[in-house]
Amino acid sequence: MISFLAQARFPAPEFDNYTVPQLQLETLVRDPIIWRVSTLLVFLVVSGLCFYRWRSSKTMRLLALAGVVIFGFIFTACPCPVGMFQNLLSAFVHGQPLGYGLLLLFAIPLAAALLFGRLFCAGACPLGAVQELLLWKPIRIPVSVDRALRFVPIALFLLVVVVVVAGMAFPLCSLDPYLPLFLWSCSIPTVAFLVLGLFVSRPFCRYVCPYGVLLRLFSLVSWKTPAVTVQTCITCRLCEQGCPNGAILPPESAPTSEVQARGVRRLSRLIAAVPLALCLGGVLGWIAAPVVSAAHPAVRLLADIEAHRTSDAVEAFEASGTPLAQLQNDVAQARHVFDWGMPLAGVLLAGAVMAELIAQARRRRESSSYTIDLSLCYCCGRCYAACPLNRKRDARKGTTT
Amino acid sequence: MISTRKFLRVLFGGGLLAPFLWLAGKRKSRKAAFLWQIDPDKCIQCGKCETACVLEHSAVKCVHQYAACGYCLFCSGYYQDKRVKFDTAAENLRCPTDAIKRKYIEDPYFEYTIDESACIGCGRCVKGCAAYGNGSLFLQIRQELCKQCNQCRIAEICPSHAVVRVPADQPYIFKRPPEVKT
Amino acid sequence: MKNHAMRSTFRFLQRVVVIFLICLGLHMLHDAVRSDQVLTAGHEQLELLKQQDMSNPKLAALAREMDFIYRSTYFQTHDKRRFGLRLLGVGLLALCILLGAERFFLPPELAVPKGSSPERDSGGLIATTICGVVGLLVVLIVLSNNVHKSSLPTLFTNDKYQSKEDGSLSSATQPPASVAQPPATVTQPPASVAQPPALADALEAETRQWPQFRGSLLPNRNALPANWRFREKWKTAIASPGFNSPVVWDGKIFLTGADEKARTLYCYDVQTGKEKWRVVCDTAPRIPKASEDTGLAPPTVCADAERVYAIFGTGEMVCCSHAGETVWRKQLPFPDINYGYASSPLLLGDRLIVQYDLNEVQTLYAFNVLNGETLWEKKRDAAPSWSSPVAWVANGKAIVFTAGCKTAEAYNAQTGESLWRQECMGGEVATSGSVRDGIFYFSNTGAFTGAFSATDGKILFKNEDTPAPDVASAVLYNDLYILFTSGGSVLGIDAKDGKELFEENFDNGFYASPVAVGGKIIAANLDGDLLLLSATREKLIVEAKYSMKTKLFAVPALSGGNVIVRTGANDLICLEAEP
Repeated sequence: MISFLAQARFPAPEFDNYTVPQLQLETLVRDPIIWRVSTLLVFLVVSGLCFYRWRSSKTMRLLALAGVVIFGFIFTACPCPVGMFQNLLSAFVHGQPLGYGLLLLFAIPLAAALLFGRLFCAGACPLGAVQELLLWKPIRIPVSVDRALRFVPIALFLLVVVVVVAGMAFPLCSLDPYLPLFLWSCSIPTVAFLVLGLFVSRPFCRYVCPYGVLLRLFSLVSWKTPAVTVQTCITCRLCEQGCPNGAILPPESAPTSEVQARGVRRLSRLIAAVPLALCLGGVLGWIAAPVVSAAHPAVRLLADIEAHRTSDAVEAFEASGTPLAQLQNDVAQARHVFDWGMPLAGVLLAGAVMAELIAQARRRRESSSYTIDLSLCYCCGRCYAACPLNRKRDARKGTTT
Repeated sequence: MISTRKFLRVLFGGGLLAPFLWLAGKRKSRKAAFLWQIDPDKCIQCGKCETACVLEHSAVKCVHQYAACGYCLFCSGYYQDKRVKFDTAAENLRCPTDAIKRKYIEDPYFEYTIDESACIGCGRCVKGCAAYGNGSLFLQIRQELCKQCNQCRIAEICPSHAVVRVPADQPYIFKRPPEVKT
Repeated sequence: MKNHAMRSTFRFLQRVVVIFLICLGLHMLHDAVRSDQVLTAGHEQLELLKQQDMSNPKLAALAREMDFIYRSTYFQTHDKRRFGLRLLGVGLLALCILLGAERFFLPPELAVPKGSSPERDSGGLIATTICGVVGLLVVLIVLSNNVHKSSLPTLFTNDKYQSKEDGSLSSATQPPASVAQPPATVTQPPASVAQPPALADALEAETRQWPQFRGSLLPNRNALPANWRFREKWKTAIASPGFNSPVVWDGKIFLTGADEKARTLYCYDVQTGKEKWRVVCDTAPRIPKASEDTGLAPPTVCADAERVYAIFGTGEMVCCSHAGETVWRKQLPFPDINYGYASSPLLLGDRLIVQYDLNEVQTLYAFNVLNGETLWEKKRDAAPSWSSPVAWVANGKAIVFTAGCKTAEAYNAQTGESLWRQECMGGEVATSGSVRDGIFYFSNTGAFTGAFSATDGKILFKNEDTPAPDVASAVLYNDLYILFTSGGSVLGIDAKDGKELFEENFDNGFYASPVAVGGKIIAANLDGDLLLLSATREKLIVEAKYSMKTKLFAVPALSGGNVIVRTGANDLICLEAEP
């Protein structure tokens, strides 16, 4: 029997006809991680077959539905691979426990991205699958806005890294707006993102998801890629319009010498501006550091104590009897991380922005056919449905079988 | 161009492999699963558990360690500080949802039971019991309700850092486990 | 054409669902924000009301009503929210199915390349909007009327709020509770709880055990070993170091050990030396610096028939039952004192006296043995000390004697009231006094050697010439007061006038306090000799000697004719007389 007394102000009475009930609590542990991992693996293999072998948008859609049910509602969407890189980081920096299962959960989608592109986003990610299914009337985002917003995930990624290294909670998990949906709960961001998702394709994946940054990087060098069959393409532009994410780029005619010269000038100017941009990023990060560090609980607690404000945290701190010096030490460490990490993150973000701009300036080369920007393709299969040749093939299949 | 891509692919693949190698090196200290739990010794009953949980009704519930209960007639977890009568009238009680049930055992002792369908995990009774009683009431995350979020929302805002990760084979933290060896 | 009709049906249904979803989402958003505000405000009001005078029946009725409204609203809101989300989920699923079905059953519509003007059936939009809004209205009406009432927990039956008495709790058993009654009155233990026995009985019972530092407060009645030729009955290594002495009660040996990680109270079986249990304290917020020959566990524990009480050099206190269950714990203020805190507690029936003299503040505490509550505490100006309190008990009243580096003082153990105070001390006081027949005897080098009247504090005699002990406390033996110094001298002085009668010299000094039992003195010295002594007015007689070959710092304990020794090597040894 477990017995304890916190403070025995009143000794337990002795009863005549009454036995003291034992405290029994359910010790059930929910689905072991191995089920999640193996289901994910199977799911990704099936997605790969559907996408590359059968080239079927219908099955991709069914897979997304299955993904919502299996990974969203049955496995309750959390822990999911999207949040896992925080655990990995935390395990590396703070030595927090991290099981193989969680690590696999983090790595399998990346490995899949290395092999097949962002298949994970299509259906195996419950967040992506929900957005995929709920896209009703896609609005085309202006290209410049789209490009600018695409840096938000990179900025968030860097911010999350700094914040996790500084020992705060995992901020990405609070960013996930769809989790309450899978838990039959309600929050304002959930509804907002769901409504937005009716008109904007994958608002979370494209403009928020920091894990997507990693997937984007990995998918850029993936082994098998979706491609337009150049030989048979009739350049009807239907696939370009059918893609809600703007991943299909139209053919470019060979640039005139004048355009080429302008491109070179632009490129040289951009390269010259790189050091300036990096410095600017660093300075911005340095300015943001105190703002971000003010959100750190230890920093806030110390500020409260020094200003003699009362809060629950101050009360808890005083009750715990922890020496103030230890808190000050923690705060100094956290501040140190922010003071170094934020400028570094700023520099990296500026670097990413400049790299993108330079790549764009450089990209002016001739291409006679449609190309697919792998980093933007979420493997939804809408282009298959849009392509008249595919449909002809499907119709032929339909008649023969 | 192809070779660059191949090179990058190998680089990324290697990067992906690195954490596994690292983890294999630190094999010993890895437990299979970790669950969230409230350390009752650190808890200050601020009441945030009630609202912070992602679930509509928080997975945090009050539990009662009967073995430590004094079975008091005037339970300070049951009655609010300024009660005028020791009866079951609403104005005298502490629990906002009437989740504590009281049963007569023998003079002058009463058994107090938590009705978990009504308990919202606000911790008001816990505070009362800790302040004037034995502290036999305390808050725990009920593992059958908890969704095991990667980042517990309660842990994120808990002012006393009382929400901690516990190994799956010890899913609950009772106040000061016995240090008895027989 | 058939395809076209099907497609427009699908499109129509999709639109209805989408508009329904949007309206539902917006309604839920609004509802979430508003109901949270209402609930918070309602609860604050209720709490405020509960703080008012509830003996006023009107206010009480209002409180009940508000309480009922609050509870119903709380659960209604949550159920409504849950239902709304389910509905949202179902709507989303329906939309998915509709979208999927359209693609599945119908060939995809030919997308129209940019530039050409698409045909739009704009007429359908108005129709679908109207349908959606009407559908939503229906749902809202359903929501607000039926759903949550049916799913409300059954606890909202109004008779709950009729203030009914439960069980046999009649008004006769209720004490007249006034509003002004502070909550503390509720914390009094029920009268039926077994109170500790009366003080005289408790002290009498102690003499047959070995319950505290230097045995018992009254002359100990344990039997001496049959002879002084010993063999080791058992030997156990103690897991953590400590300079405290073992105590024994009913076949259980209690002692403590401590290091910076944990402070531990151990219980051993007196027959076998096996560890029965241990209780760990590791919650001290700060670990004080203690010198090596003090450590973190110098105070000896106290035991009574029910419980055992331990205090550590960290200010942690723990009380356990004899079975090893923790009864209460306590953390005293951080013990900031040179060398480390060392005073042993004194058990006086229902209270535990702790002399807590630190560098800055000196406090004498009395704790309730049942729950560790402070019965009284007395801040005093006594200078830091390492001495343990003793008490004189007569007519059921106890006078506690404390020695400090500045003063000797006496207190009423019942109330903590200061009885007398003599500023006659000096130096660093580490030894403890002795008591007999209303006289406190005390001797510490550099401080004072002499005697006080227990009741008024009159100095009966004073000896300023004799060397005095600085570690081991002197012992009363017949009409002698015998001092054992850490230099190895043993001095006998007259207990009536303080005249020096004899001096004997040993090769090595005494750290362990000697005890007088059964007409003999048991002493242990730093050579590891366990000495059985007696004395006349002329000389000290060494009756027997047993060599342990290890330094002895702790007072040996007697139990059932055996001697329990904690050695300097931190072993616990039970010595049994050879037949």
